Amino acid sequence: MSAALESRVDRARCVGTGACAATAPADLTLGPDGRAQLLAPVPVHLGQLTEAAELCPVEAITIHRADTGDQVAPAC
Amino acid sequence: MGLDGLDLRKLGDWSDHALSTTAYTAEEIQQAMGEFGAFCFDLVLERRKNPGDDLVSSLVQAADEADGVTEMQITKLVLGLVVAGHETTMTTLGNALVFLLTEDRAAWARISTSRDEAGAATEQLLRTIPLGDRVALPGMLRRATEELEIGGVTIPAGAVVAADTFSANHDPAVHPETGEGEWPDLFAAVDVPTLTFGAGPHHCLGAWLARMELESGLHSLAARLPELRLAHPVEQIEWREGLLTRSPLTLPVTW
Repeated sequence: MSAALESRVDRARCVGTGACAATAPADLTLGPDGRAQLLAPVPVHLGQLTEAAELCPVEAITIHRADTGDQVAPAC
Repeated sequence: MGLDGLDLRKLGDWSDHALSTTAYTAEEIQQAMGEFGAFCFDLVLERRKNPGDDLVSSLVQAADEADGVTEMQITKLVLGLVVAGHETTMTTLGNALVFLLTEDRAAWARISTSRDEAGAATEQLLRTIPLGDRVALPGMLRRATEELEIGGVTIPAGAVVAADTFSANHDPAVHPETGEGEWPDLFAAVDVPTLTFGAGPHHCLGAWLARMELESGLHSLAARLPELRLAHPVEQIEWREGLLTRSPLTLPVTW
């Protein structure tokens, strides 16, 4: 059985490209300050969210195992 | 981009014209940009006919799959990628070398030890070394789309402002300042974003490529030529001037 996952956005790191919100609209949007924010604390569309995490030019988006906190995307 | 085998000197010359502030006359720029545009247009047509495993071919294919992307838009994108794909990285590498070889020999030695050390230094060099001369143009010109206040100054909607990324990258509220006359620790992590590659939807597409090229270039050079040094005093460096970017025209060295 696969482990439960959680999504994280480092808003201090975000530079607001909007690539994530365009790639994973179910999981991410740009807030009023122009920086990414999560629509849900856990991945809604894991495939899209993974792609968004890999696309982010400042690696502000990460997906972690909820139990251990280990980062599963982007691969490091 | 699959530009190997083409006239790179010509591409460099066109790029200089594209980034000219005062180096060339309006007529010279117009002429060069006309040739450059025609070259890029021919490249787009050629790669559509004979697609390869290169960026231009991929762009043409993606544009053909999407609706409403014109030949002119792809051509301008290719032109932008040619300029941005080499000019700024070349400039930064040249300027970084001037700094490292004259001001921070200890950093040069440390950069030679590993790619990781070179990578850390690359981040700080990108933050601290200006890309332009900050005289002809103190930053990229931008037009304010709405009124806003920065540091107690109201910028009206429609105003043209020069956004000085060098100054932003040294904002003491964001980046702890080093003491007077001290160089920043080149190996300290840059924990907050800088404006070197811009921000927002137009954040530099090539940011990671540029980082990789700088990291690899500096590390390889330092590992291969640990005794590399300038052949002449730094005051004698001849600079590329009158362009958006400033860097040594030539950098005579010895080792």
